[in-house]
Amino acid sequence: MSNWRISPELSAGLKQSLSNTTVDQERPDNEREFLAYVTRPIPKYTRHKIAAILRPRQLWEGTVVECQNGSFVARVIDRTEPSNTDELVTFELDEVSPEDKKLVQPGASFYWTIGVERSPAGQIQNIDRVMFRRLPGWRASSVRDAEREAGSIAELLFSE
Amino acid sequence: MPEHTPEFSGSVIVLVGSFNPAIFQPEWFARNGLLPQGEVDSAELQVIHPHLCQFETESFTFQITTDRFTAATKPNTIAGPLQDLILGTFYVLEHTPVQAMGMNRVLHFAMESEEAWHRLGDKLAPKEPWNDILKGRPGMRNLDILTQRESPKGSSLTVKVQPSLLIQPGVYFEINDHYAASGSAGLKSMMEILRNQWETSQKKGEEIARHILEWAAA
Repeated sequence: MSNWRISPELSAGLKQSLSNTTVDQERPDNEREFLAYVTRPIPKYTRHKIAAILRPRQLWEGTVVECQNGSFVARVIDRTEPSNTDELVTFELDEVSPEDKKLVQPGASFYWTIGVERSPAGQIQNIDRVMFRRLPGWRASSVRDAEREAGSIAELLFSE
Repeated sequence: MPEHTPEFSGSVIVLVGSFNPAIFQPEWFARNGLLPQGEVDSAELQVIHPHLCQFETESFTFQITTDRFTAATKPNTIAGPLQDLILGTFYVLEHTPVQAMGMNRVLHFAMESEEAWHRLGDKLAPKEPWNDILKGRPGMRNLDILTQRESPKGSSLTVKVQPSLLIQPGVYFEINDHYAASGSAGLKSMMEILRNQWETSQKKGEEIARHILEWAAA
C-alpha cells in the first residue's frame, strides 16, 4: 500500500471503499481509466506525509448563546451520550482557531471533540478541539418559500 | 465482552449524477465559505483535469468525476463536518442533477489473534464446500451482503467485509447506505435524506460491524 498517491491510512479505507460505494458496476470504462491513473504507483518523493491521528472519545454539539469579552457561552448537547442533559459551558476565544473566530456569534453552531491524538512519531496527547460549522445562510428565495408556506398554513388554521 | 473499537474509521459520501469537476477546486470551497481559507491554502492538489478533480485538505479527501462526486473524511475524524460540507456544497449548486447517493462508513478493526481473524472468515464463509477441492488454506477475501429496503423505493444497504489492508490481523467493514432519487427533485430528496439520516446511518454502520464481530467471537 505504501506506493499509492493518497496518504496510507486513507488510501486503504478510501481505496477499499471506492471499489464499492454506490453503483460501482455501472461505472463507465473511461472512469475506470481515470481511477487507474489516480491510484497508479508514484515516486516516493511525492508521497503525502502521514498526519496525526485523532481518536475522538467524546463529542458535543454546541450553540453559541452569548458572546463576552474574550469568551463565549454555549449550550452543549452530548452526542456521545445523548441521555445526558444539555449544559451551559464557557469557552475561551483562544480555544477557537483564528479562522473560526469570525464565526463566533449567537446562534452559531460548533462541534467540540475530546480525544487522544497520536502523532506520526507515536506521541500520544489528550486534546480538545472546537470546530465551528460552516453552513450556508438562507437564500432569499428559500425565505420567501418558507413565508409562503407559513402563510398557507396560517390561512388553513385561521380560516373559519 | 469488551466493546470493539475501530483502529481506523472514516465516512464517505458519494453522489451519482452530472458534475463539472473543473468547478470543484479547493479555492471554490473557500470562496463559498465551506472550508476555512487556511485549510484550502494547504490543500494538496493531486489531479485537476476537465474530467477529474482530486485533492486532499487537512480534513477531507475529494474525488470528482463527470458522474460521481466523492468526499471522505480523514481517518478517525468526526463525521458531522462532512455532512455540513455536502449540504453546503449542494445548497450552492442547487440545480445539480443527482440520481443516487451513498452514505458510507468504513471501519478497520484489529483482531486479537490470527485464529480469531480466521474464525470470523470461516463463520461468515464456511470452507467445507472448498476444502475437498482446493488445496492449502482457503480464506475469505471479500463478502458483500446486500439488503433491499422497501422504503424509500430503490434504497439498499450493502455490507462489505474484507481482510484489512491496514491492520494485520484485522478486518475491514464498509457499510454502504444507498438511496436512489426519483423524479426531477433528485438533489433535493437526496439532501433531505442526508440531513435527516446521516447520523443514524453512520451509527448503524458501526452497530452492524460490532454485531458481526461479537457474533463471530461468541
